[in-house]
Amino acid sequence: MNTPNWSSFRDLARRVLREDAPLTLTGDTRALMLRTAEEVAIPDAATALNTSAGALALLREIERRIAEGSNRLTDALNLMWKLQQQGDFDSARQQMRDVLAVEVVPYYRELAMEQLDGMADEP
Amino acid sequence: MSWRRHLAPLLVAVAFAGCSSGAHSSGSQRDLYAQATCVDSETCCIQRNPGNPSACGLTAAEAAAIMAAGVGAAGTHGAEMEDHKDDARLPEWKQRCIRNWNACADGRFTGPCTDCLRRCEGQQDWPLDMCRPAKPKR
Repeated sequence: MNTPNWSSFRDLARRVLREDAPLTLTGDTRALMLRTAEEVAIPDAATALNTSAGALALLREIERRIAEGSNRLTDALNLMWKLQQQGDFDSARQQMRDVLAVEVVPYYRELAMEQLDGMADEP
Repeated sequence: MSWRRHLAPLLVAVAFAGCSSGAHSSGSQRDLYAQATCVDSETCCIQRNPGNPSACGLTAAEAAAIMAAGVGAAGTHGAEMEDHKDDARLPEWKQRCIRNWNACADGRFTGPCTDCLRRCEGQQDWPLDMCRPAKPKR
């Protein structure tokens, strides 16, 4: 899986959700939202873009999945690294399993799986 | 002593810059300034304006990176990974940004650490698309 680039989407979300800029669905904006929705595993995004309310709700949901997934995974990673340093690999592996139990964003799942696989040979 | 442990106080000072003037020179912050080498106009400007990087045309992240590099150049930067201590005075999102920046500086994330810190400060979560966890060594 290619690493996504969410900078443009995050800039759009910041302008609309924090700075109260209007969500104007130009061709580029529609394409950006459709692509990012797919990257965070949201189906039927095109339907949501048919109305202003639907587009805004979609923007919020994409933003939520990116942000909450990042917080969840980075918190788990920091704890995992600490546990690895202590030699507690069972608990370290469990951190990534806990992420995988709830995470839906494919990129975040791939990162968690990569870390889990990297501990396969540890005791 | 790790130079990175001094980053959080600097960012605290920056976070509260503008609330009052002249009250930002905490002991830890002074330690950082004392350790950094005043080798060019930027580091000297940061030292002359503690807690106010904007006076030097810099963001908090840029000032932190410059001062950290100065301390590293002065030879106090150890290569070992160290446990980061959160600063409870900061909001949770900022603690997370700094914690991840420290992990990035330790090589646990790969990517442009300071750019990621800057973006984290703006969007309030770590940009894993820019700075991802390093691939585990097998």
